[in-house]
Amino acid sequence: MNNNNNKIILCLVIAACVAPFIIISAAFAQDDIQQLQHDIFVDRERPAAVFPHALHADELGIDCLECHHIYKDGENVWDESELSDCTGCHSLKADGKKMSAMRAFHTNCKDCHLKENKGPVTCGECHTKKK
Amino acid sequence: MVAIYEFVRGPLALISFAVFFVGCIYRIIWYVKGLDWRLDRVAYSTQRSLGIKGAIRSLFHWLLPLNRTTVNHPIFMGATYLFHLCLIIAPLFLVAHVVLIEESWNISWITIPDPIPDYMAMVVIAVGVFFLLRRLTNPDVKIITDGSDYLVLAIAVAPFITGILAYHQIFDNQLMTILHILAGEIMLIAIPFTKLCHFVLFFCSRIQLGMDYGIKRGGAHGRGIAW
Amino acid sequence: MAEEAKTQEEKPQDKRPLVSRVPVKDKEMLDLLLADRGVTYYEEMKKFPVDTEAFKKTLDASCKSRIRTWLKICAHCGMCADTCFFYLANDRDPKQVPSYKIQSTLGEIVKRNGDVDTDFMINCMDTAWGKCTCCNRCGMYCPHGIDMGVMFGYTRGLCFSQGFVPHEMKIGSGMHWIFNAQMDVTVEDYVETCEWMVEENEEYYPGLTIPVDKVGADIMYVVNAREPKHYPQDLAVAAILFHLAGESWTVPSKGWEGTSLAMFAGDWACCKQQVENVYAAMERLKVKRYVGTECGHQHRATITEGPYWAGRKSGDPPVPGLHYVEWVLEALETGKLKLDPAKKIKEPCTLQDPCNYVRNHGLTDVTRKIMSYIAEDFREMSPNREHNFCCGGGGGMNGIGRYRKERNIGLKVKRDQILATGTKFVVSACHNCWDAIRDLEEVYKIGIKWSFLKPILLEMVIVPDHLKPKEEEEGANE
Repeated sequence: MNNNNNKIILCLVIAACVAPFIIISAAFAQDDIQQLQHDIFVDRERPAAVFPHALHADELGIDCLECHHIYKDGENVWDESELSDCTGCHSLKADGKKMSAMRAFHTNCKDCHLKENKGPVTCGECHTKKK
Repeated sequence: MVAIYEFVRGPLALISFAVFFVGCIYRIIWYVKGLDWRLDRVAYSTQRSLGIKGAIRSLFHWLLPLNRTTVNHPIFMGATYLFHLCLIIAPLFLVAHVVLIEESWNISWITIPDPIPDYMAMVVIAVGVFFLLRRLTNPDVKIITDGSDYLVLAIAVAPFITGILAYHQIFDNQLMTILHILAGEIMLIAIPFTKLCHFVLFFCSRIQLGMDYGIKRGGAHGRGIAW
Repeated sequence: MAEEAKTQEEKPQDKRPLVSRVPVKDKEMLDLLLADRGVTYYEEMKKFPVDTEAFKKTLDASCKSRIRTWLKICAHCGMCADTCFFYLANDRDPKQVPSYKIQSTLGEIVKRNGDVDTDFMINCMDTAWGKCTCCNRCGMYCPHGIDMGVMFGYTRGLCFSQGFVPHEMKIGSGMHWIFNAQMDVTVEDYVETCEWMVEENEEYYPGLTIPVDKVGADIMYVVNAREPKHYPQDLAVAAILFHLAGESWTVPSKGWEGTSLAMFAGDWACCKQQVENVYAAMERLKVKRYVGTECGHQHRATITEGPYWAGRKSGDPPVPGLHYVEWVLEALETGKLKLDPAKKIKEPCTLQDPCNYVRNHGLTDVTRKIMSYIAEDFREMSPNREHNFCCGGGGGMNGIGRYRKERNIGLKVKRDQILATGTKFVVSACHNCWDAIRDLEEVYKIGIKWSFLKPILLEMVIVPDHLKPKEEEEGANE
């Protein structure tokens, strides 16, 4: 009986320890992100841009800080515990030094693709029509 | 390919806009400096108010379809007005263009929803085809047509054909977008150097003839003549 | 090529070449040309070389942005085609499309910067004088505001400077150089004709005078040389109407002629000296206003274009210039001239709008108002006013034998316009239009009459009692 209880407690402890990691990884790994679907873009002129997160983060192993950022004194201090919803900061219109959401995405994606000579750069390559 | 894109999107765009603006301004200066009250036999400077009145009159009647040519040839003139209207408005207020310009030079202006320029581009192409068929079949037009007429028609319509293909993502999008940008740049560069210079010289010519009629040919008499 | 021409020009006097790049300024040359009647002249022209160097210089000096722009931006749209009466009269021949006509002549000259040959220039001449009357109608319909009439005027100047000018036009400008008139009428001839006309008519209009060179008159009346030469009665009627209207008026001795065949010929230097004669008379006689006779191109040459040839920056002549119709309307509206309403023209009649003072000087309403005084059943042609077609004989066309066939074809448009009004009587206050309408009756025999305003007015005018001849009064008392 005691033995059984111990086993249950051990399981709970393990679960309690592992759970945050599962939740965190579910939240941050985001294997399922395929498009930049943000609710603030209500009236879209073009379809949402294609963005396979896993391709960038996992397969290509691009540093998260390449995209995710929070600047303090000119330094990107973002870490995985921070907010990762882009449109939480970037709204439809530019706000001071903060780029508008569209511009932030365009700049972030295209500049890198051009620099790396990889990935789509033209309008229709990202904003693909649903087929 | 990305390198080509980068080139047409960046330096070439800048060059073509520069050529376009400088070229157009040069054309206007060249035109105005070439006016000569004795050779043209129009007292431009001494009869200024009559001249301005005549010029405004001329522009008003021809920028709007309020002239006899439109009455006599409603189909051709209607098509022409539509062609020019769409040709100017569609690219100027297209979201994608304004976004690219904003990202490059931090200036932007109002835009119109994508379906409108999409239809407008189709109108430009359709009227372009009408112009082409007319050139090929109407004997009065055929006799005055030369190679440059087909060339400028192609230059003017090409950005709209490639634009539609790029927008609707027909064929390879990167290639099509590059071709579209190139076509647009060719048009911008061609404007000061070809017949397309009527982009600015139309206004010069209309204003001049308006002043001619306003000052010399009856502008001071009665109701005046609108041309 | 240029040297060849020089040697030609240096031949002995009795074999003087008829074709040359210089205007006719001596009587002998004029007589040679008149005697030739164009036969040898056009033969010579076929071998006359183009001075391409001089041509380039002329182009550099005179072909500026306005004309170069017109040639460049022509969209080749063909909207000008059916605005041209020659195109319509020639069964819509594409070779008569104004844009084609100018592009294939001036357009090529500019493109080749004057490097053209004799055959090309003869074609230019045949187009500039034989396929265009410089009526400027096409310019009103061009969406780009391209005035091909103005360009053909300019082309005529280029042709003239190279010696490629119709025989009669060369003579015309020569007449102006030698006589300051389009015909061989001297100042003495003119003054004598004035005196003669007074003698002929003073019996019926006591006190009638034609004051020559009266300083300080209100009106200086200037005529067309044809009037003293061929229709002196026209001068008499003008005098009678001024007399009955009680005007203070005069005619100048020197400077009496207002027309300018030099304008049709494209001899700009001659245009200048011609119009300066008239302006000098205005200034010499210190008149208040100028009134020109019923001539379209006289008004264009003396009032509209003249100030520019004379270098007047204001674009205005020294004193305000009226066309005869403007004076007539003023006299009718102010009551200086009173017409007998019972004598109004009863039959339906129509009115010819001359290009030179309607389309090119805006006098659209004046003639119509006059018609309301003189006609009971006035019917408009269609199109009319500034949209009216050229009579078919403008721009010198009437006078050039080489293009008589083309002219007669061109007249069909006016013929059909007149027929469409259903009238048999055409009022025309322009010599050229009057001639063209007379000739179209001769060629097509549609049974019409035509008239200047002056004879009509004379017919209807009420002579004030104090100006009536004594006999008539006595007769009336009996």
